[in-house]
Amino acid sequence: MRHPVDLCRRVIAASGVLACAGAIAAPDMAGRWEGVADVPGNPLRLVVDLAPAAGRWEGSVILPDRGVKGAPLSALAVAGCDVRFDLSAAFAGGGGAAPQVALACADDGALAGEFTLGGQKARMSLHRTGAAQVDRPIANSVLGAALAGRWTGRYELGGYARQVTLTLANRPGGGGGGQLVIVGKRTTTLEIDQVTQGREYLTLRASAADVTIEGRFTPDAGLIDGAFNQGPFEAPLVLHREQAS
Amino acid sequence: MRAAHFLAALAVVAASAAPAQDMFRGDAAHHGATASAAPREFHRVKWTFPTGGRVVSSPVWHDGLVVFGSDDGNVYAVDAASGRQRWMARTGGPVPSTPAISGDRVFVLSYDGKLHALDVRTGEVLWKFATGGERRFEARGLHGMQPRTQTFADMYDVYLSSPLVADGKVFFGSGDGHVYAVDAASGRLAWKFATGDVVHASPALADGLVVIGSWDGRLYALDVATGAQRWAFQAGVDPLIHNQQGFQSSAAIADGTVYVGCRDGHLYAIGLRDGAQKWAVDTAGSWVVGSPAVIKGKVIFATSDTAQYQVVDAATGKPAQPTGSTQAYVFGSPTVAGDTVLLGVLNGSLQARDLADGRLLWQFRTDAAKANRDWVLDAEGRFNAGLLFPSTWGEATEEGARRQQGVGSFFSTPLVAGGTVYIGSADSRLYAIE
Repeated sequence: MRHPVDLCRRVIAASGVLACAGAIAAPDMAGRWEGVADVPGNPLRLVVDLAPAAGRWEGSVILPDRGVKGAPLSALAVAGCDVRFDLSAAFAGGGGAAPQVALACADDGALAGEFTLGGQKARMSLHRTGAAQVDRPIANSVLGAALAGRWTGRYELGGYARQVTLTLANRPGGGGGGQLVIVGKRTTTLEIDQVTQGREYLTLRASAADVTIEGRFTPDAGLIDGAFNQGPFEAPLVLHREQAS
Repeated sequence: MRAAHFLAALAVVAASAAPAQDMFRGDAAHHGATASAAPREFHRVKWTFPTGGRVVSSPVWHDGLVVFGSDDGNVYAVDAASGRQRWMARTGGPVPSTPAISGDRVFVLSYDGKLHALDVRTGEVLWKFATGGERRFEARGLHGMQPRTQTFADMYDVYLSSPLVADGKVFFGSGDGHVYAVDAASGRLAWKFATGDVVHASPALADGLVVIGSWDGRLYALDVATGAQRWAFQAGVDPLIHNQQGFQSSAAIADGTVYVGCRDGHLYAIGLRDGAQKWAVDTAGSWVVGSPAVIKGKVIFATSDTAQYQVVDAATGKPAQPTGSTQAYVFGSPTVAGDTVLLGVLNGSLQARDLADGRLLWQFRTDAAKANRDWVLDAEGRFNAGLLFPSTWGEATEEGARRQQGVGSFFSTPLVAGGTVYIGSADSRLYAIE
């Protein structure tokens, strides 16, 4: 299939009419795009979703070979036929640099370009397979009054105890957040950046450290009964609400 | 007469729109049959839904939603008509377990070692129940791998147990070796029963007995209310290389008989009341991993290495049809949909057969199977075993098994609803085929 931009160029050349100017200025990059980055010996499959939203572009990626579903595209820039983004969210946790992708329209309707990682480049091409299904980050829950405040508890991991102080509050921009202070052999302070409050179950995540605290909460009892998780490690953790003095 | 036709048509539509396929094998007794009709010929791929990992889990149906797990760690609810995601719930590990839906709740197991209870409308976590943790079956010198004193995890232990919901409880097995009953409303433990090894088969229930096999080589019947053992059936064991032992297959129960496959190379018929063997089909050492379907006095199952599609008489175990070839290993379970049997094969093909005579009606192959990168398959669609398994040392066998799955193996068991077949693939997609 010939790309619309190419077709319009031919129409313009033939008729001298600028009827296609709008299409040239804004080719529709929205959609689901699927393809491969030809990393030698280990091709990387990608499903990229691109969609306009409120005057800008948003996108997410699925990497079937890496257990990644719906990671946001970072530094996404769409200008005419050029699409650029990096995969820092999709490659988070692995260490090292994040891949960068630069694509442009190809004659066959595909997007083609380069996948760059660690100073090396691989050919990459994507074909449109349907409408965009962008995975949007889940907004943090607004914390109920019974959860906002200061909570304390302790957990044991590797044979020694840590004291935990959790401070939860709603942020001015909307949604909850907080701070987690863990005191063991040293003191670690983490930002709680993801908050999901269900009817009875609370999940708090400090994504920078891959730490999750989750459990059932009982507002009347001032209790969060759950666990501390970090990577493969899990320990029971019961948090009690501190009474305001 | 016309009114009768109209009412009959309405009944068919109603059956198609709301099939009771909200748990593994469709019902508590695991018959593996649905009234929904499957396509008698392949028309098209209606949609595919990509995830971030293998889809070993089998899809289940709830009110126009297809719900399944992925090895990317997520549970998905996808609109059956459009293939668009309704919700996604993250767990802490791969989800090769088939969800069970009861009321407004989804129950599913993850490799994070927890039973997850989710709201079926939103995916919201309602509670989690922690087991003693998950692991694959493992043994020294497993499958003849070397060095023989080394303990290897079984790369073919691909499933987790799929929960069963009945009497307000959720029943399931765990890699910690226990069978659990958990209160569906609160997530509190009702009872647990210790077996001798990993339990990744799925429980079936009939006449007040929970029937489930363990990798210890025993099939257990437990009292549904208390978890007390009523009987245990001892299948074959293989102390040398542990290849010919263990229950991966989940039982089907019909007319007082338990039908179950075993890795000891047999399909067994066992009395539900006393646990006594009625008959056994010898599969010549080939594993029976999938769960049999039972319908109209016949038992339908498939084998791994010998790649056989077999239909036997439920009363005698004698062949009821000529044996068919699936070309490659079958781990998934047959789904009987009307007059058609659907079966996923590890060579990346979904096969549809005629229920009455077993002839192949059509087959769909994944793009990866067609591409056949690295010549995983031979020209007939069989595994190129010599090419895949050049050595028994170290990780070579596991690497060979991983390469096998590169053709988009169908470990998943097909769901049929509204004339569409839904099945997950190791290529990371859920397929909707009509």
